[in-house]
Amino acid sequence: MSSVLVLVRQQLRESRTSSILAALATSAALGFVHAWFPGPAAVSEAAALAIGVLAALWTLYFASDSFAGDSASGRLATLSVLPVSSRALWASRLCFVASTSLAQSVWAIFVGYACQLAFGDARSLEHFDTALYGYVPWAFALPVLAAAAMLASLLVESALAAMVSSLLLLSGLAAVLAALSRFLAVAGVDVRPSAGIAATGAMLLALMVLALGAHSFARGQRCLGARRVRAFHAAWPLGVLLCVAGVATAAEHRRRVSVELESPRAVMDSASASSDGAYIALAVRNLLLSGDGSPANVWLLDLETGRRELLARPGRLLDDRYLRYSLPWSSEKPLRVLQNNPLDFRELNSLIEVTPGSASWTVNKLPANAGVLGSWLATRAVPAWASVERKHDKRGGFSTIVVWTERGIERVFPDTLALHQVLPTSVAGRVLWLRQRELVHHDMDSGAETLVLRGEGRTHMSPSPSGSAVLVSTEVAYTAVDATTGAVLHAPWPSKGWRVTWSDANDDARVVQLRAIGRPDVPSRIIDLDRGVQFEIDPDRTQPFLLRIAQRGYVFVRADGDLVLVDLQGRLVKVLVER
Amino acid sequence: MRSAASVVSVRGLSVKFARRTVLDKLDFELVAGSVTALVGENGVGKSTLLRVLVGALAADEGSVRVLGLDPMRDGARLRARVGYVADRFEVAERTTAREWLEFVARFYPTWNLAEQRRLCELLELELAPRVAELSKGARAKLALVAALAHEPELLLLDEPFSGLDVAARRAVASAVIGHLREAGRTVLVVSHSVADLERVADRVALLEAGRIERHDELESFAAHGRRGVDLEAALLGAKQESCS
Repeated sequence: MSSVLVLVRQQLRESRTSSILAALATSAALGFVHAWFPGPAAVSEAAALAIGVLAALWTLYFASDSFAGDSASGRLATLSVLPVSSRALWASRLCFVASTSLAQSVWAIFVGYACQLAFGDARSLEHFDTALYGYVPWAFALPVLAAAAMLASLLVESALAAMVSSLLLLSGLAAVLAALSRFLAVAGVDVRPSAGIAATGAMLLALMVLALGAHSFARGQRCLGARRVRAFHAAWPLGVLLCVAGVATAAEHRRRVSVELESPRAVMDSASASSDGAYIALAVRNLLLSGDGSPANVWLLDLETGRRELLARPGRLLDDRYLRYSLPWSSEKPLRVLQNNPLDFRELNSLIEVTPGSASWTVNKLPANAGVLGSWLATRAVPAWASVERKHDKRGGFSTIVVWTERGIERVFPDTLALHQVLPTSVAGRVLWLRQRELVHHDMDSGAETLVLRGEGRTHMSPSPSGSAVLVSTEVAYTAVDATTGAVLHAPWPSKGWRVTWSDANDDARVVQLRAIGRPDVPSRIIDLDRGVQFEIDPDRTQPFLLRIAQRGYVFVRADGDLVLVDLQGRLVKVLVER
Repeated sequence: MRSAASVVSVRGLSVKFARRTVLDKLDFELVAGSVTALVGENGVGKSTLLRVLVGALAADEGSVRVLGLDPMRDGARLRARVGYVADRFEVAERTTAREWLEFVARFYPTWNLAEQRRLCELLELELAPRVAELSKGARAKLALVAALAHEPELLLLDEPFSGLDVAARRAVASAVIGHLREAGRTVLVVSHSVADLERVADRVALLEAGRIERHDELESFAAHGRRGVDLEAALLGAKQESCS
């Protein structure tokens, strides 16, 4: 048996009391959570959070005690005169911390599920699964925490001091990185990473700190275990590596955030057209950074001349506040774009307004202002007679409040999603809403309700971009219904094997796109429900946006990656971006 | 240059702690099969020298060869062939003496269970109690057994008589070290117990001001009458000489 394994076994044996106590404390804490928190959602959220906190706590504790206690008592000195190298000693402590932390985390998850089985139900278990999965990305923080605590454990002689020191060390690292990023921002270098880069960075940081600890431990052991020597050997490479890593990360990040339209790495996410159909704004992400919350590059494109302008990097097109569709823009209602901080995508740097002209566009940049941004949030699916509000209810869900502004009549639809379940129609006082599985017209004046369509199984409602029609999906079929009259606009399409969605549009057109599920070789069918025109296109499945531009045609990304404009019958007009 | 019979060869060894020089260009050799007493005042660097010899402490200057190996580069291999009793012996208190010996035995390919039993019997060491329950003397015996049961080629003892009662001191001095001398093993022992050293040592090295001031046969130190008194007097005399 290798000396590392022998040392790990001994360490596990010596720490069995603390391991058992930690496991008992975990069980007690999770039991307390189940006894204290009411409701399936609350208890599941709290239990998942408790598991995350306990995993971090035990990792911090066992890593902090990896050297400190033994060093103070002299046990480390006794071990170091055995025929084992200092690297084997270090490796054994590392293995011990990793295995103990993993075991405690697994135990916490096991107890969490056991509590769900004992005290929960199917709903709370589902909540627990979801909540626990939400903490998975934070698992990358545990190696960093452990590495920092082990390094701190070398420098102080008590586990508590090591815990505090490691937290201070990590805070210091965060402060240095923040300062470095600000400093580099002055030089025009973006350093704030995405979640993926952060996870990789965390792993690299953990490895770096561990390697540093091993180096410092080996050097310190040769000098009678001198802490001064360890501290010196731990400090200088840390500083140097931080600087080098900061510059390297910045360079790589800058490279990744920037993406040109012709780049094969460009993923075109969404677009918004001016009302006259002369210009479009495109949100383009880098394939390597695509995903929710990742930054986009916003481009403006003249469909006639091909002229283009980079509007924001990173930035975001402001779309419909309730639906995912774009808002058409004109001289009266300009295009609204949010420009984010290149160092922190969650931070807003400025608000941009773009007004279309006859030959070009005008860009107006405003400072970030929450009041202005609030007034910018708009929808075109709510008619002028109504206003819609979304409100949190006491049970943690949402309610939709529709107000008939002229008559002052207010109607609350509990436990509904605004516009996705409750949609004011073009007739004043008439609201289309999904009452469980039934689509009904609700008269706000009398309170009378008229059945429009009866659903089957799980039933969903999806309004068109202008709100003049809805697509009702059941387990059997998709049905397009006129929101005002309740008339069916087309024969239903089967749900099995097909996905039907509205096409985005800069006018009131009602166009659907039918895509075959799991059959990439089958072309998509475009159906204009008002004009009865239909044709097939072959879009890129990874960039599925389709934008109808009034009287001009449709813009989408073709399977070969080119951004193209086709006419209203589906014939190619021009390639806008060739890739 | 190292002689063929020398087990330890130290040349120009310097060790500094902060600004204080503990060992200063020290030269030292240990002849194979000898039992050498390393003596000197408190804080003169005796334990430091032993730590350097087992690779637990790096030298600032000089070269050190032990059993033909460099303690810094081949520390683990060297320690497998050396028995070392440090001045401080600490193990997890919940561990029993038997568990500790079983643990230590796994690192030594030459561990001799029969020798372990013989030493335990000789030193009257019980293995069942936990280390926390052992007296200071019993802990010292446990450290000795752990250092000797793998039959080391070189034994380095740092205050091995500390905490032992009279019977145990005699057992360690005569039966243990004497047995090693008869077996042709090399021993370097640090102790302030002159009487015990006289009983076992055949050579004496006097460490003063970071250097070996005198390294000679025991008889050369002991010029008069009974050996115990003479060695003590000789050491005192050497100290007075170096002060003047």
